[in-house]
Amino acid sequence: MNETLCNDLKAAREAAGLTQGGLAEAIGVSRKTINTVENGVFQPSTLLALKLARALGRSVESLFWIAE
Amino acid sequence: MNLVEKAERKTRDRAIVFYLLALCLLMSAMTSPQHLDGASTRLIPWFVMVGAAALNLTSAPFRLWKWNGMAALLNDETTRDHRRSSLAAGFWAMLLASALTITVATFQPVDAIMTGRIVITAGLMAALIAFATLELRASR
Repeated sequence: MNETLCNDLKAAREAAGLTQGGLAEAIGVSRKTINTVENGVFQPSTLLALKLARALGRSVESLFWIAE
Repeated sequence: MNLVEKAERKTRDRAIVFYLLALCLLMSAMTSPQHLDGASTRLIPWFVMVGAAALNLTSAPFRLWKWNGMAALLNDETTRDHRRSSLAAGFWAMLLASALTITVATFQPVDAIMTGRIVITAGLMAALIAFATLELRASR
């Protein structure tokens, strides 16, 4: 089974009026972490996914989903 | 400049230092003496360089440096993932270098110091280059 983790992080971040650096600062990670998660290069841990959702005022399920 | 921007600059600097360190290791291996005369004294600075390179590929420096928010940014999830990938690349490079050295040794004797240098240099170079490349690519 070929499953891919998709995300709506870029749209949610832009909707919140944040830059990658601003979001990174808000949750205490580097900008490259935000960049790689947005581009689907890096799959975040549950902890990071929860922090991202909280910072953007969204649920984790609306930010991340599995495409089969 | 805020903390995230400073961390980004340090990440880039670290990647460049790792490329330079890989180059130094290669130059050192290429210019190493072929004979054992006085090799023990010449090996000390090499061991220091290898030790420094290997230590920088681990998260040990960050465990000792917890007092600053910068340490957390320089050792976040992505960096740890890159570290794991680069150490795996180093492991495969060491295996390949060992296999090649064994193959060469069947035709021509290779001394133990030279073998060790080749294997360690190959592994560390691969790990340093892989880490630096992943970090720079992620920062784009």
